[in-house]
Amino acid sequence: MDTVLSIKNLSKHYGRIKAIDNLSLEVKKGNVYGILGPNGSGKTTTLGTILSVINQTSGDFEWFGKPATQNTRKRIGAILEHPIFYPYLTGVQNLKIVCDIKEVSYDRVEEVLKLVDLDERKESKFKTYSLGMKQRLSIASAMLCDPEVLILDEPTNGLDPQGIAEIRDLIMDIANSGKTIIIASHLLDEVQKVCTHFCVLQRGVLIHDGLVEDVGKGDVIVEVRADADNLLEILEQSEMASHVKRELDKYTLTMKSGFASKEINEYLFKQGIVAKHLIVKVKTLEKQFLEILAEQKGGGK
Amino acid sequence: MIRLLKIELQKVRPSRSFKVLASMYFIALTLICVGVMPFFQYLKSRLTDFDVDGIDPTIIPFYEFPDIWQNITSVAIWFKLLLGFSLIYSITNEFSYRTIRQNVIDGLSKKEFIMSKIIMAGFLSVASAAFLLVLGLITGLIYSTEVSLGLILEDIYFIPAFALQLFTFLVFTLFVGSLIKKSIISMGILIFWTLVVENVIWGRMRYLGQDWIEYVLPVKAINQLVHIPFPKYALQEVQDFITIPELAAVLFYLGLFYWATTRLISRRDL
Repeated sequence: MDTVLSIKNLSKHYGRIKAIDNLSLEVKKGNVYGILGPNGSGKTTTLGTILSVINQTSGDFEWFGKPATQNTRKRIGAILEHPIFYPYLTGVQNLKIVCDIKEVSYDRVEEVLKLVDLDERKESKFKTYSLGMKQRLSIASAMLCDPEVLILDEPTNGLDPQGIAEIRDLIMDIANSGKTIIIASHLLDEVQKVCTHFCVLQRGVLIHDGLVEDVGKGDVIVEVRADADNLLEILEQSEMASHVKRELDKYTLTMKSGFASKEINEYLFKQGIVAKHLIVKVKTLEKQFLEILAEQKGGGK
Repeated sequence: MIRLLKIELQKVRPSRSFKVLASMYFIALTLICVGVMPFFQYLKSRLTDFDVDGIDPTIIPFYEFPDIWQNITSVAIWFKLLLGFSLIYSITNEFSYRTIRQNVIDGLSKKEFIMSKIIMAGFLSVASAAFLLVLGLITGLIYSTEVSLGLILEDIYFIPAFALQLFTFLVFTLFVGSLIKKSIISMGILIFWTLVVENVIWGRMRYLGQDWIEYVLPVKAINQLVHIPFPKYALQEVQDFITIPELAAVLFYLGLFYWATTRLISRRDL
């Protein structure tokens, strides 16, 4: 696969603070790449640097295998942080300026406004838009040049649940059309739903880099609830779980290899207990993310 | 270049503040150029009221070709601050709305961004000069006692000189705007620098007999390109041409402020 973006040993220091520290990563064509990290971990700084609005202290990055120029940015649709437009101009006037900057025809303006469902308010001034509309206008603006790469920074920030679902569908559609997408977010659920790859940043350092589909792999976790006073004892005696943890009225079992929900169900039944709640839990990205951060805190420094 | 001008015009055309400032400037230009003769006539009527004989301001050949060119350009340049404000407004807005950042993300290089502002400055200067040319031709043809192509064209180079003065001043305001980033503060500093700081230094140094000070103060150096011709109507000697060192000083400041603005913006994180 072609490499769309490659970052090599990128650093950005603000005095003694290292916003990005020796970051290297690669994004291939067609990836939907999630950049995760707590607030202030350097996500936006990284995106700002690869878009040439922030000057790096050292290191390099390449777009499409070549050093970046303003012409490579014309092939990229990007939104950093909140939507930025001229407040005294209308939606259409704002998009026309972007058309002129990206050197694409004005015909696209109507198309993208329909795409994000902003047709009705296109002649209103930007400052009269609601946050959701502003967010949608910026996605429209990013789509103007029919970009090869879409960069989104917290795309669903401040949206209502319906807006979040709409934006997520839109991102899925765009991803399905084979475009490369880079999303920075701290909403793990969002990244798990749309991304193929993800990386985790902490204080500017890359601490994890992998596939989203690998997240669920590893230990099986089973959740059990039943009406038995000595349930914890019985579960521990089964020797099927390496770890049993009580969470209010239910027990979470981390299963040993070879054992799963079926075996534990059989075992409980033999003991004369009928489980009224038995669920196999897939590990969420959230769990993985917290684990990665915890490991880092424990083992690292 | 056309693309950059087009982007810039799309940005400012619907902006009310820009329109107000720019039209104030053009109205001021018109008033000052067309209004001198009515003013003289008013003076004359007042003077007759006071029974002062022998003084008739209307015979001052303000609109006479070829003197008209130096006369109107040296007056018109006083209004450069108004045009400077509209440009400061346009550049500082880019910083306060952070649209400069989005422009760069969208695919404008920082150099192109600065060029778009400079092209706008050039466009405004050329437009003002052309406007002044038309005003000069009209009023000149009305009031001149003697009209011939030779006389009209004789000192017409003051018009392009005026465009250069205005352009250099506007690049200076761009530099101030990019440095300060806040519109009101930039405008305040621009007024303070142009009207107070330079005048105080200039006055003091002239008093000490240090005439070279005109070359060191940027706005004075710009103004100095066209000398004020009016003392000649009181029969004093006036420089009624443009000298090479004075022209070189203006070009030097033009280059300096362009370089400084580019350096400022390309080094800055947006």
